Amino acid sequence: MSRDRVLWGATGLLRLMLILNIVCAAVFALALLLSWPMQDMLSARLTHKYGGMLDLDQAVLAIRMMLFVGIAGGVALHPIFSNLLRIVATVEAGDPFVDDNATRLARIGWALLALQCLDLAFGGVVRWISLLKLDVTSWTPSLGGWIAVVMIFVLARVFRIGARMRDDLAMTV
Amino acid sequence: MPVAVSLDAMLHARRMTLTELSEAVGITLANLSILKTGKAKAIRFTTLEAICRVLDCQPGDLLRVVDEGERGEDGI
Repeated sequence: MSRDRVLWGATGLLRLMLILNIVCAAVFALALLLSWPMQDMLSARLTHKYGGMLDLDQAVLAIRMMLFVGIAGGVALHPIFSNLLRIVATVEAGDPFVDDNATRLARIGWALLALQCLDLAFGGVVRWISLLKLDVTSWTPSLGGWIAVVMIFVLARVFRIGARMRDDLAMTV
Repeated sequence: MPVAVSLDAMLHARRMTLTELSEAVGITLANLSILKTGKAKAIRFTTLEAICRVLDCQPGDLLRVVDEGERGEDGI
């Protein structure tokens, strides 16, 4: 039987995103670590770009906070990709309505909730950086993300009840 | 749940094999074996009706409630 193209594509994409996420988190971690030994160089670059009126200590701290939020985001994203990969594997195996998948969905829900909280923290850092008159990306709260959190928790419950119903039907003649 | 299934006795009384019953009611031999050995958790009304029609009996002839420790001639 040929492999389902959607599942094949989803598995490939999820694996790629899992690896990219690890790489990004590692780069953020490296940048954060290097921000101490290379603080003078960073301060010089900031002074060159924004002038001497800039509060350098605050600016460097804000950049470190941004990097820290990036690392935490990577940590929160990892269980989403890994659990989704396991769920897709059960779909491929032909038995997705199991209690384990309900648990995996709940884990994804908690990870999404953590990401939403980190998004709020990110918004705070962005606001802080903009107050320091540094160039920074714009930020708006993600309403869709909060809806996704609720949706995933509801789906996890649906999966759990569905798995129990299926167990009840097992050995029914 | 202590419900005994007297399918084996009924098959013997009707001089019919499980394979013949399986072909007559359109239920797999594996599922009928589960029912016969008392491993089934539940039985659908449609299954019960099909078996009763082929064996010319009533549901009460196939199923009976027994005490926890009791073992019938068929599965419990």
